[in-house]
Amino acid sequence: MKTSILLLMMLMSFFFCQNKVYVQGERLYNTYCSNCHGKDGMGLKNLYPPLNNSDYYEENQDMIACIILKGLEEEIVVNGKDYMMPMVGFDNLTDVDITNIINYVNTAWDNDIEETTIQQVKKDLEKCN
Amino acid sequence: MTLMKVLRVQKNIWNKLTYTLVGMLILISCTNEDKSLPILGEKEMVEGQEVPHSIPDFSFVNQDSTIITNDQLNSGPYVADFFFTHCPSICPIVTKQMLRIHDAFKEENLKLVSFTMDPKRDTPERLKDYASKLEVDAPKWHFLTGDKEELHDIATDFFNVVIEDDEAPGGFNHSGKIILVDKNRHIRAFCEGTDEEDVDDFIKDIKILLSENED
Repeated sequence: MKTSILLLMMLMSFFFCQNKVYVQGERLYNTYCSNCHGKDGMGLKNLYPPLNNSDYYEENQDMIACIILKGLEEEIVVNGKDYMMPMVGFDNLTDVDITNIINYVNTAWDNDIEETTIQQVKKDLEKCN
Repeated sequence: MTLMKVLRVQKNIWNKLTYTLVGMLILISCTNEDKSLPILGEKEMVEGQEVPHSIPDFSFVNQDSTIITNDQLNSGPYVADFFFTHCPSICPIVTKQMLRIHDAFKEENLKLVSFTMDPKRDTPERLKDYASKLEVDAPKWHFLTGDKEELHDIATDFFNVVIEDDEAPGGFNHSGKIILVDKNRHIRAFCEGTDEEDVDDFIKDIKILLSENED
């Protein structure tokens, strides 16, 4: 009896892990990011850059936490296009929130970027100016 | 045997009922297609006569520094929204829906007008930059700036229709409404520019108005 319950629990956790989505990350993304970057992560024309299949996003993983927290004023090049619409920061978000957002984006849509950790995000945030 | 018979009769009745229902549905949807859009807004008094609400005269400057008045816009219907370029909240969603409308009526006689609520920052140059990043042009889509008071007044005029209808509290600068104006300056429909499904219905309304104008 005990073994069967254990087995069932293992099976359940296996299925839950299989369907693992960053639920909180997605919720936060939809609140703070999707207005400009889109629910599909495709951005909007040449106004707002994409986060899906975005070379800038993938290559600057250590800066993403700071950008979410502090915003970004400078002009950037994403997939060969210039973007200069300033982004506001969200300094009300916690380290955990930021980690969840990054992990959601890293695994959402076509993205398959290595997931980050709270420790890494804390380290990245120390470098913010 | 008798049970089968009863069942068969019932089935017959059901079939008839279904046909009638489908027929009625088709009839209803047909009459719906022919419906014309109402004229929205509170009636105005002109020389003691009650007349339908209409958008007052205005004169603003577009992204090409061209002066745009009602006359330039009223060759056909147009849709209007209120925005500002430096807006991280709902503006991008509404702009995205405006873009959908733009793309859906590329070839039709429909214009788009976006009034800035931040004329201090949104100069014609800045609006030009914004429009070109969206890959849209005047005279199809005007981005208008000008005197702050006048922009505020025109927004109030547009939204008094919406607010009255929606019972929404004031604060037009947070409103993401998209408004349809006919060539006679009457507001004929509006939608929530942040709600994709609402915009779907709005696009149908635009089609109704456009077919009306063809007659």
